[in-house]
Amino acid sequence: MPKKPTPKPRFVFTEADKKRRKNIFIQLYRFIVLGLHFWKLSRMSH
Amino acid sequence: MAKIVIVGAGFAGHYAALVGADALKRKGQHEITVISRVPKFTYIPSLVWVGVAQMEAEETQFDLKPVYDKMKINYIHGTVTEVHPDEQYVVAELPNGEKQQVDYDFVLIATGPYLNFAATPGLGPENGYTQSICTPPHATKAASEYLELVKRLEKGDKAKIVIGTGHGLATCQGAAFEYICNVHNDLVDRGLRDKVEIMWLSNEPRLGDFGIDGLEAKMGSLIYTSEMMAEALFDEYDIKWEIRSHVRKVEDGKIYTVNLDGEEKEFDFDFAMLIPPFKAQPIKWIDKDGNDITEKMCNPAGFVKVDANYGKPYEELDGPDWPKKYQNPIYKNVFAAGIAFAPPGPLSQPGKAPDGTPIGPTPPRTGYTAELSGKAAILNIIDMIEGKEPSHTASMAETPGLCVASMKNHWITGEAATIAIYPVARNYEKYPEYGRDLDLCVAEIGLAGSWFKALLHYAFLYKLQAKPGWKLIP
Repeated sequence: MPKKPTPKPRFVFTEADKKRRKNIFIQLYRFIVLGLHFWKLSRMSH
Repeated sequence: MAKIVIVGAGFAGHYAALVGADALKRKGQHEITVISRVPKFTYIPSLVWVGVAQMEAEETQFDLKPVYDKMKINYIHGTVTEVHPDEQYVVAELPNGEKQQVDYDFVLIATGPYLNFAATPGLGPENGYTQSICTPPHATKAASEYLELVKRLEKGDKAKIVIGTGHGLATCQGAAFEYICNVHNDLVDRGLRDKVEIMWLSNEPRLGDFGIDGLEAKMGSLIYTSEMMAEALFDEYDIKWEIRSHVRKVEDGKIYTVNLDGEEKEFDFDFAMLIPPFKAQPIKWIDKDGNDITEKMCNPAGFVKVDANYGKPYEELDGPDWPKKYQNPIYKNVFAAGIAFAPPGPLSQPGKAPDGTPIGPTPPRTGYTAELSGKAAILNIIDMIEGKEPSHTASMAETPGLCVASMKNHWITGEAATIAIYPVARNYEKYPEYGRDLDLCVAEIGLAGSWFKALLHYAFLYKLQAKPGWKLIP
């Protein structure tokens, strides 16, 4: 039976996190990094 | 000459047909026939955008027949109602009501799910009060109801929206998560968000479980979980949540639930989108003496048993128990893939309310996972045609789950959660600490995810129409 989750300090997105999520240059970089990661994982499974 | 029949043309069945036709084209006169009750392929992950009226259903679809003509695959528009594994034929009911017998040497069952709205009284867009985004007509109706609500909000009304799962054993929480985020952001863009209370209602044992027992990813020195991500996001979006819950029934404007602690609750709503539980498409399995052997071939929900270790309790299930070759243990020329195969158990921890009501997500086996299982099954069939033992594997405990959960679709202001897990089913034998390789797991929100989601839409629709270079797209 799953235990009821115990209350704990919540993780929150900081203002810096929120800006990073929308910063087009950081996101272009992440797009390339995550794209390569997805490609690698997909090749592992084919 | 071998005859292969593929039942269903979703991610598993359709992709298997393409891979099979391509692999067999230089291997003699073999025949692949796809039988599908719907003459179009639907890219289901994009239906979330149809449900918020940001995309037409037709943009997620293409006709199967021209693709199959190009790939020299036979196509029958019909619904398979019976499989006769001893005599090796299936019975398909055609749209005009006639029945057609189709012989096979090998059969791959890849029917996808039957949406079991009837499991919860009042659930669903046809005979109930809630919406769904599981099929193009459902998503189109959800969009129309959503736009009606928007009109009321524009006139100054206030409203309550509930989105999540409509039964204790439902799956595909990820689709509902995408929908709730898209609805939130659409209302923000329309300047109406302050007029609406939005609630997440689900059967997950903890927030961010998504039916895959959640996920962990490294963020510097921090182990970041999907629970942390979902909590932070819902706090940011001002979305309340009610989890660990089974929906007992739905009435006009009211949802009745019971949770794992036995608390019975009622929630008012003006608009609700609740994912139904899945069961198998109704297919009878009949032996040579005319006996119904469905119970022998399938699990209680009707999903076809394959090479998994069935019957273990959740606590003892581990990676090696998940099927690898998708081959039925009784009839070796019968395979099942995608939603249609019977999993050995849930990925998420199951539970029961004090009255015995089961509450816990059933395992998702859609999208990329479905494709991989379909591909492994058809390649194993080809192995057998060539007189070899099946050698291709795609166990959910050895393959990745790749998912991009849209939150807002826009090239500049969009957001999505990019999620990668390896493997999908926790494999403690191989990864003793978390059951997964955290160096390969990712959970990240940002604009890049929105680009991925859009790119995947076009890339998959291109690949699955077998256009030039389709095999290069993973």
